[in-house]
Amino acid sequence: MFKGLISISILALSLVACTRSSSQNQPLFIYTTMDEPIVRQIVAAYEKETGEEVEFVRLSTGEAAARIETEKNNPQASLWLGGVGLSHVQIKQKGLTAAYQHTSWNKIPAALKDGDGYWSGLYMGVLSFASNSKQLKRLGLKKPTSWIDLLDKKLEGQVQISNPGSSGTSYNLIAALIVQDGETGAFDYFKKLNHNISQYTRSGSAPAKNVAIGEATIAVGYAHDIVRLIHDDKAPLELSFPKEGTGYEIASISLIKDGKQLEKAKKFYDWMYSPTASQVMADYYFVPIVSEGIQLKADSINPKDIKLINVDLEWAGKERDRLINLWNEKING
Amino acid sequence: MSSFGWIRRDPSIAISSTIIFILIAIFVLYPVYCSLQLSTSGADFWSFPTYRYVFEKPWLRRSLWNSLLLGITTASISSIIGFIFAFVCVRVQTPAKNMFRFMATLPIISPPFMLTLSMILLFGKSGFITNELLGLENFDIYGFPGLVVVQSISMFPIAYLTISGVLLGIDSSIEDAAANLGAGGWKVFRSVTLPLATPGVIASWLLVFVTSLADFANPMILAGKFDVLSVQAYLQFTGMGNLPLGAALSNLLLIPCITAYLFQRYYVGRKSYVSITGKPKLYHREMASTSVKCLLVFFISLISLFIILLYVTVLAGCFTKSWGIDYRFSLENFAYVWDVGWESIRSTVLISSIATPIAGTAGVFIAFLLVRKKFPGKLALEIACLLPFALPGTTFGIGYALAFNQPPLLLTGTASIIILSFIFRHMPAGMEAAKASLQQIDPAIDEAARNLGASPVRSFKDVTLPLIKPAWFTGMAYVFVHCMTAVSAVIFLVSAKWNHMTVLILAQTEILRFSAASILCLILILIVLAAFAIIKLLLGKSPITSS
Repeated sequence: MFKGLISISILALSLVACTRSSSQNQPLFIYTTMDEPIVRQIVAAYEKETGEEVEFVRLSTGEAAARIETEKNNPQASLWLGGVGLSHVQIKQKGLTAAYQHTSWNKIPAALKDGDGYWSGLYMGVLSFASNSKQLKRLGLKKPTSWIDLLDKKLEGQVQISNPGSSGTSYNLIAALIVQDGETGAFDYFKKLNHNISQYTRSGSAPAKNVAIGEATIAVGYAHDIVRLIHDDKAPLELSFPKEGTGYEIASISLIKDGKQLEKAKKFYDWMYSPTASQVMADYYFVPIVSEGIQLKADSINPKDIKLINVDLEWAGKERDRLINLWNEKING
Repeated sequence: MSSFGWIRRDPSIAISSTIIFILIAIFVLYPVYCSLQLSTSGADFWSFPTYRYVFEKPWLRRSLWNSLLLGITTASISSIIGFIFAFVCVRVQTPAKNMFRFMATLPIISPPFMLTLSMILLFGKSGFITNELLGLENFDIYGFPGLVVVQSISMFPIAYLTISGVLLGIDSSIEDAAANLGAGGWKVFRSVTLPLATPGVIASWLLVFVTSLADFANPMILAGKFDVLSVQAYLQFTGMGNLPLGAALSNLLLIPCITAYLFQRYYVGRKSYVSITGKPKLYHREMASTSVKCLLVFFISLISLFIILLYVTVLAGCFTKSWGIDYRFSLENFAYVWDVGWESIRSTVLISSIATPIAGTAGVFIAFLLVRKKFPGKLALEIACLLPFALPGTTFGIGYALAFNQPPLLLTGTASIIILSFIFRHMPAGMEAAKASLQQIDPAIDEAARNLGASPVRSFKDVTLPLIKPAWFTGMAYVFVHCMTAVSAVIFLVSAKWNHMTVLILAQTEILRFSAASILCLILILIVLAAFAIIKLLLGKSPITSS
């Protein structure tokens, strides 16, 4: 018994001892907030072109930011790929990221990158409505063209957005509507909207997919996700935009401060603006910010053609915690 | 003899119990302390600002209330279903008994939210039954009623296993006496059988209650706007980065869990263990009249059919192109799962296989100490070892994430952190199983060996160990199932290299890759069944049944 116990404890302790070692020889480890399928394609293209391996964990924007923060004394990943720009701003404000001017820095408009080089935009996502055409017909409704349309009494329990606590998509929505209607107006709207919401999902892309399979009638999601569901998955969806203007995200990249593989991460960072990477993203219906010489998919939504609400990212980043707590109180109060 | 005489007589006990205490202190108490400390940080210890915040905010208060409501409802329904299943399996002669037994254990070995998945596939707004077959257009499965159904079906087996153990332990001679004195079947049941089974029923109620409170995978997907504490804790912790609030919310779950656990220990007492493994062949009176029997069998057949329906759905989901959009037969999701899931499957099996023998063996050793040896601090040791049982998974996971993210124990992102959490979280299951069977072995056998000159180690190895081998294997079977189906703690600990299948299933469910999620569920069940088959081969009997 005695011997057994000792050997168990030795085993347990040796497990403790075998922690991650010599990270320079290991594959580059990153966090990503892009959808699993596109990250796989990006990573495959990168490995093919450079011979460097990449490992990733897919987390929602909020989860990724929280994880980078909990791990700040011992960062596991060296780069965060994708995810709403606001959260990149927020983790910059918390001092969790490192500045880096990648090789295509000058090709990016000033509004779509951090002045100090802490983050850089990859593509823009425009918030839009996804409606299930079958369900719309059944309810006798037309596809929404205004935020107000979502408050229709017929839509009770039929609208889905994600939970702003875990998803950047919905926080973008909150920030945009506050810019447009002021805090009181926006929260009044969300309180009314709450009546029609069936569920606040954890991930930002889930609502549109729920609408695609008919679990809800209208969702708010990024246009490129909806276009892809329509084209690639043949989902019975209709895409529309609010005429008042809509919010948008700047999906971005940041280097994580004190990351163990920053050199590798920088190389990957540069490559993300190469024609190969841009083409992979374009094939996924994104419109990359650096898009010279690439072929966009038909029906891709170019943010230049949509009426947008401009949000001050620094402001939105600073206000996130307060606004989301307020949202929780207003919605559930 | 001096008060330290026990140390000299058997020094190994002193040394091993000290080692156990140290390990428990590092890997159970310290993480819990970290989580508690975080939730009270920022002000005087006694002012509990975060907790006050929780009780001041109606939306958080409501999620606490919702959790309790859900727990109470699920526990009550599960206990009733579990009791009827147990009663039929133990006390009623039916040809389909083995099938019912299988049905009552199947949900235990499934990933925690698999039933949620099939409920959505069948009864969602575009569900196969509600929409395709019945043409209902606005059936709403999301929320409290749907959650109660899913939790009751997945948790009644806990009640079934506990209650059938107790029913098996009741000697029918008492019931015979009552019947001979002129009591009718119903009266015998009400005045003899039911009171005797009450401790078991209460124990099972509490176990289900605690499981329901800690469950967060089902509510995450199915709760709709019915907010529960475990989900809020997760959102606050990982989504908002509000660590104090997340920790505080999950610690609130600690209070009902520990209360329930202590109540169970006090009320049910130790005696019930003896009956759980079932003494050799007590005689059991056949008590139900034909009509009652038919009614009971009809009831559990309905439940069984429902369970079969849920599992068939998952099976069908595996071969469907895209559930809800395109119901055509397709195998392409298998390729996708292979691509996305192979690494997770491998690491899940590897981690569980490392953790299982360690946790199972440690459980047997500790059980042996507790049952056979007298030493100071025994009660404290027992409580410390059982603590992980009562801890909500989220507290455990958050505690680990906090405690082992800095030197000297820098474990974040490694397999070790998951393995250690599994060992310490699931060891009590193995320990309890071993304890139950040890209590049935007469210490006299052991003493005989000692009198014949065997050392304590030798008598343990040659006499006790062979006798407790079945318990050891059963313990390991439970530990393995827990490791494979764990989600609430492990979701805080997974990394790129060391993902867990349940976390992947949750992610696939959320992005509505129902077919991929179904395939992963199926693979997980097959792995567990394969493990059971191996144990059965080694042991000559099935590891998880009460009889």
